[in-house]
Amino acid sequence: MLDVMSGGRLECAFPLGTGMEYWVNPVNPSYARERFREAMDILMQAWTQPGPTRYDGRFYQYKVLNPFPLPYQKPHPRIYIVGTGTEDTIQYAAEKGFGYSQVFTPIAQQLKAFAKYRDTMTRHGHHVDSESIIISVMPYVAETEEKAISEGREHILFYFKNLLRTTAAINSPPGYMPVARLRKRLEMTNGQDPEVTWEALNTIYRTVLGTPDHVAERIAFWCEEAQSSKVVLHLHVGDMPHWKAVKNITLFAEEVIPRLRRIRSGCLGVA
Amino acid sequence: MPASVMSGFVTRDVTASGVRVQVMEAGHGDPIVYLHGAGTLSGFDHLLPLARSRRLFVPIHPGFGASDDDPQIDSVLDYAVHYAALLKQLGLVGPIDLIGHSLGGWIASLFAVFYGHRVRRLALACPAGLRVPEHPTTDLFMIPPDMLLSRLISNPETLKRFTAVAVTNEMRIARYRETTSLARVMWDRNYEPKLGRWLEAVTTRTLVMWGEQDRVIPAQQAKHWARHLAKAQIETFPDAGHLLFSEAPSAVECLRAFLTASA
Repeated sequence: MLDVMSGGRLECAFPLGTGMEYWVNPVNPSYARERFREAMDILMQAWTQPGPTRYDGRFYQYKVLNPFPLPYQKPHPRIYIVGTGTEDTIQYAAEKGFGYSQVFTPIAQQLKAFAKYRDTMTRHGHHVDSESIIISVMPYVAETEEKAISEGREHILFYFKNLLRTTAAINSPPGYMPVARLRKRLEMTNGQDPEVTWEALNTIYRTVLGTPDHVAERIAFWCEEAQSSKVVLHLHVGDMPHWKAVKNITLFAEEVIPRLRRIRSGCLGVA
Repeated sequence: MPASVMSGFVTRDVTASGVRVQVMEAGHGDPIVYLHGAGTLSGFDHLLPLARSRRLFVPIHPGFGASDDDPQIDSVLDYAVHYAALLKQLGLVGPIDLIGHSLGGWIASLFAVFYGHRVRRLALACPAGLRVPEHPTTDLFMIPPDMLLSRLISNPETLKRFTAVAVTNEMRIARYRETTSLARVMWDRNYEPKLGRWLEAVTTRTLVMWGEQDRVIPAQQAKHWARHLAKAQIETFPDAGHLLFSEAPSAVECLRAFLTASA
């Protein structure tokens, strides 16, 4: 419906969910991947095959799949898979020709995963462009850099420290993480839960606080680095009050986007 | 089949239904099969007295210890079906004495329900699987990993034996894999709602054993098992927790006596 109403502007990104979510939802984390893939198959069948069709799967059964209206875009709206760098997920996205994105993972690691994704896409004969990968950015824009830091930093920290607070055990329910990935993580952390600091979160998230010039340049750099022109913005974060959110959104729209367009000569899509 | 001698057990690889598993074996005589619980890290040496006059088999479940994963397994009944194939592969086609501990007790009880003619005597040690709302089984997934061991054991001396070993990343990984295998069959619920009714089909002589200090599956569940089983006797052990045989040599002796008595 959204796709039809917007004349074909809908794009959908599907994450497996964080590990934390499996404790509160009645879904078994140890076959979350298999279930996720079956759900994607159902979605594709519903979007692309004229109904009514039937689906008899391991997890889901539909006597009648017959959505109305069908998506405006043909064969279907663009799909992105959101992962944390697990090999298996990159493989899946690339095999299917879906887009790919990562959040909350070290940026260096993301770039490696993006390269791997692009290679695999090409091997499977899928076209890769600057919209195949989405990066997430958390900017705060103000008149001066000092002002941006003093106004924005505490809310970003609040978000990571309180709203995303977890432990390795809670964030990795059994089976959520492939064993190979757990091995990698243990080698990095040795089983300790790392403390959230401003420095640490800047290595796992694209956070930028400053003047429109600074923010635009930084985002342009990140786009260049990730070979992406598709940016998801987090302009309201954590416990940010209304006035700051409005200020941030306004300055971003009026001051940052035009600068970015100039730097990136018009190839930027803002989701 | 490569064989190696380890701590009194001989181990070998056996493939059943396309999945390679490790089978530990000791002693000679009439076969006894022991189905282990949800972890293998505590080892099985404490069972060796059973092999003094008998041939003891301890097969490692798919998804645990040195056995491979079986992606087809997603219910406890699938494990019972696996054992129907594996025991045949081991040449154990006549009625056997079957022991199951915890998760293994659940598997053994289903094996007795569906393959009753292949079981001569059945021993269930603090078995999982029965729904007893007034004395529920602990949801092991809710216990933080570093608190799990002390929950499984009642005696601080036994605890020392386990904690003397430093935890390595390899052990953490092995544990995560076993917990994943367990989650595939027990994340949603650690009981089978219809098990009580199914157990009524079992006519095998059954010994229900429990550590009175069990803080995972309460010993009060014993009488509920006995109520559903036609020929059950209950034995409890005052100073033992959930790792019954690790903590109470007297439980191993009791088991030996039960398996020696005329069927």
